[in-house]
Amino acid sequence: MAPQPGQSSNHPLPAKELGCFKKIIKSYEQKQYKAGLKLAKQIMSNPTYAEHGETLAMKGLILNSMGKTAEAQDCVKRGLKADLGSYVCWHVYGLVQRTEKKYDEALKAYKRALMLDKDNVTILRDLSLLQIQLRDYEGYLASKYDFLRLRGNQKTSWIGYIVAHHLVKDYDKALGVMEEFIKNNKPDGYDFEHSELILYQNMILREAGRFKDALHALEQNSTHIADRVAYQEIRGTLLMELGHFEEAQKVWKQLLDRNPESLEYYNQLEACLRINGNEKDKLKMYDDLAKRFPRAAAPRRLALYMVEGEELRTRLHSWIVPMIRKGAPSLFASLVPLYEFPKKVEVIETLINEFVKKMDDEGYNNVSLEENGEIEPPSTALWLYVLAAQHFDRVGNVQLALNYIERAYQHTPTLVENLMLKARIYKHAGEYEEAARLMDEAQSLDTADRYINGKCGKYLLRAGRLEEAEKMLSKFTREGEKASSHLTDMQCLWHEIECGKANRSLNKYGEALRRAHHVEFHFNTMIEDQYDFHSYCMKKMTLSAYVKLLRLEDVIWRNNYYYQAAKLAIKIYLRMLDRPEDMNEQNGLIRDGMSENEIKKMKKKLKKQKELEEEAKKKEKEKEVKEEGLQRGPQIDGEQLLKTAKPLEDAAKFCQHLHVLGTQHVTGYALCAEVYRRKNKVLLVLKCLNEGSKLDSQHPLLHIQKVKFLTYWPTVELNGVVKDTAEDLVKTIFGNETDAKNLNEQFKIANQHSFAHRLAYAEARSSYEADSSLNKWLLKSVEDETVNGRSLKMLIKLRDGIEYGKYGKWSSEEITELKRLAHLKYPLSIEFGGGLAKPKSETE
Amino acid sequence: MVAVETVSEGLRKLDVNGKPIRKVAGNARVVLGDITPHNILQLKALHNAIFPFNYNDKFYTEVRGSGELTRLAYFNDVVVGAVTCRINNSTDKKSLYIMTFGVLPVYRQFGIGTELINYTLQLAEKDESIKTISLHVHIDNQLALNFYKKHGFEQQELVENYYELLPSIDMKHEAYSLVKKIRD
Repeated sequence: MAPQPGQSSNHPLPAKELGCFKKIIKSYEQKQYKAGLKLAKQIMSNPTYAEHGETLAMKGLILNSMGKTAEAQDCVKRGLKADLGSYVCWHVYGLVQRTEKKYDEALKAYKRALMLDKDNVTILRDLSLLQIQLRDYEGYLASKYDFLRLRGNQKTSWIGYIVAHHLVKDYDKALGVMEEFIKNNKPDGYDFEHSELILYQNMILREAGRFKDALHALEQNSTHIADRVAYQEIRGTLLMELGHFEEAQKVWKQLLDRNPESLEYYNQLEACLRINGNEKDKLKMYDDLAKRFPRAAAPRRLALYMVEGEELRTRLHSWIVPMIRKGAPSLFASLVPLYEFPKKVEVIETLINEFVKKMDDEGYNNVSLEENGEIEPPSTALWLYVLAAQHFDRVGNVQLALNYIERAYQHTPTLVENLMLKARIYKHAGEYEEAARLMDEAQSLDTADRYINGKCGKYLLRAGRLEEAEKMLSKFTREGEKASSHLTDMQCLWHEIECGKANRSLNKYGEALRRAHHVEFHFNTMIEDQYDFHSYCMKKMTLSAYVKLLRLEDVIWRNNYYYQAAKLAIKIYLRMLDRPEDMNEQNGLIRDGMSENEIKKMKKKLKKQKELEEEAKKKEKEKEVKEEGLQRGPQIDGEQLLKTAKPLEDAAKFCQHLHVLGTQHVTGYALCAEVYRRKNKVLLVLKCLNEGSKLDSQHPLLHIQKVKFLTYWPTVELNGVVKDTAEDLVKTIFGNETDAKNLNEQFKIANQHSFAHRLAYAEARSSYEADSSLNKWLLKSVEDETVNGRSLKMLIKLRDGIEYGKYGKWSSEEITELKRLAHLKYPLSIEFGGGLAKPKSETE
Repeated sequence: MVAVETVSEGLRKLDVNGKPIRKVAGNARVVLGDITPHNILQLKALHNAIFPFNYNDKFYTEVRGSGELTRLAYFNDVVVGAVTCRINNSTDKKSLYIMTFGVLPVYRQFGIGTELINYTLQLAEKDESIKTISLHVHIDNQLALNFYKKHGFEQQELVENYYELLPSIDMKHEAYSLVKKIRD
């Protein structure tokens, strides 16, 4: 046993100081930081102990908890230097490094401390927590073994030991220890913890592939399992694994009796009936279930997706009518999967038109959509018009969509959804101003609804009205605090992304980057938050859920919000390299045809504005510091991010998270390929191209990267294994076609009816040769009725791409022509000079 | 949250005299709910759609805090009607005065107005100091006159300049005063 803290060093304290030291530890544990610091000062005021190692360590630990990390670092380092033989100094040094996220340092320090005090359970606990956090499973197992050795009488020691074996996939050992543990901890009567343990045991059995044993154990322990749904679900899965489909079917049906809306159960039942692929049997299954559950929506809805033509029409009729009577907001969402198929869209449109005609012919006061003679309630017409507006919005017919929403509004002017949908239609048409105005009106009708409030904030951000958005959102955030900092505290991811994009549109790249980094910060926080669960779940015995949590955290970077943020950040870093002049906010505001004087004036105005903003920011920060004592949340400065000396490195950090775990987004791989090519990381480029190709080999953005790679490939010099691997990958991705030009021309022919692919062809081509006839071809494509996907979004991408220089040199006449064509096609789009006429007072 | 209370389900289409003629498909539901500062603009939207003139902000400020004196009628969760009242202390007899009362045109003849007027009658009956319910109806509004008479209101004197203060609206200025006696 090592000596007590305070005496464990080569510099033991005498009685009086030792008393003081013990009090410091107490103050720290009770979070009485100021008192603790005072005591430390008292000891160190004695010249003999001015550099007393363990006292310095404790002082550092307290400062660390107060958020004063720089001072804390200094103290613990000095402490360690003064007393290398003290486990306290090493332990504390590790703790402080951990807070600073220097995990390797921390790990080393803990281990060193343990060498000095072998059986110190506190240090052992800290070490094992860090090991599991870092997924050092082997190390974790070793620590858990020590724990069991030292604290064999504690339940959690055993549980930790079992989990550790499970995580290193030593299932037999895990199960063996578990059996031993259960034998010695027989529950008397109802015991939730025991129930969780049984379920966990079953999870391990299943992962070990021992399905028969798992089923046996499950059924034998049935009475002990409190979570009956989990019991049934596991039983169903196991019966299927063992090929007992008849029995499994019964289980899933029983589960459906409990919850006839669970899509998972329907899927499983389908699998049981082994009817995957046979649509007719499948349909019959759903129809039978629809009869069995007359009030359930799921079997009817799922059946809609399996039929077409007349059958679809009949089913849609009986699906839609009750929903438009009631006004079910989910109606349109339930139809969305059908929009993938043009034939099915036709069926929907015909049906809607028929309903509308019937309403018009018979008058909506006297109409009946079914044959039983019951009159339609007045709300049927309302929701029918809403549905029609949603439909025509979806298929891009803005005028009809607006007509229908107007009819809905005339019918029932009090309906909040009318205004929301109208706003949405204008948003899709590119009229962000009107969209925001309408959403604001919708919001005003029901100010107790946070959903609409959030929508309104989002629409204001889309319109570039950042301050108004802030004000709107503050109606639901903490009083006396800026809405955006509160939302950052709450890890509100959509808000970060929308703010980032809004700022990017306003050329405020620093602020946009800051938002992207906030998202990264939030995900890191979520990973950090695991710490709370490592010991908590052991105590509560919720082990299946715990292991699932660990696995979720392992892939948390796959989340779509992170992808959005990474995309935003990577593009800005690339822009920093390609167009450094853009990073200066003023440049983005200089329009063609501005006079010298105007530019000068604007610059002056901007400078002043910026100064004011800085001032306000500073004041706010000061206020925060004053109120809180320390700063909360991410302390990231946008301006600082813009000043980075190595944008590629910064971008690569975001890329790393995308490609290491694998992303579902081909665009993600394309962006990574761009970054890695510039960094000369040939193998990583090839990995990304290969993974992307697996998802969609004809993806336009990936194609550009492939062409760029082929131009770059001949300049690459590699040798050894790297060379072999690279050549293999090139073969896998490109086959025999390794000529950039040929690849591009083939791509053009194969995808000539897609606008997005045409843009990709042009961008790829501009990367290896200049040809201004491409401009004419692209302009023609904009008008060409045989080319699909000439959406507003793609046209904006083309315009922005031209500005960026992706499509070679464009004359101002050509740009004007593009804008003219785009305006013609999308007259409401503000981006191309369209939109609703503004009242005079506003334009002036 | 708005406090709501279902008042009827399984509606019938009614004729002008309130006699049911046809069954309404589906499970239409009428619910009455509170007015709060949060949804006051829905009442305004409703009024603007029903009445040929606009009430001023002062009116809405008064209504906003009037509690149980005001009710919104929801048809399948959408606001389609409302009643707003005030207590009149001006004469020696305390009376409940209906300031506005209406249902969106397409939602009429489903008994929603009846639910609103029944609510108002209950309100008056609950408070023993209230002796009468009163209101004004525009001289040309025959439908409304019939409706109130059916519910026991008696037509009183013609008020010549009732709508006089309204800004330049092209309609007659006379209104009938209607009263229903609740108790002596």
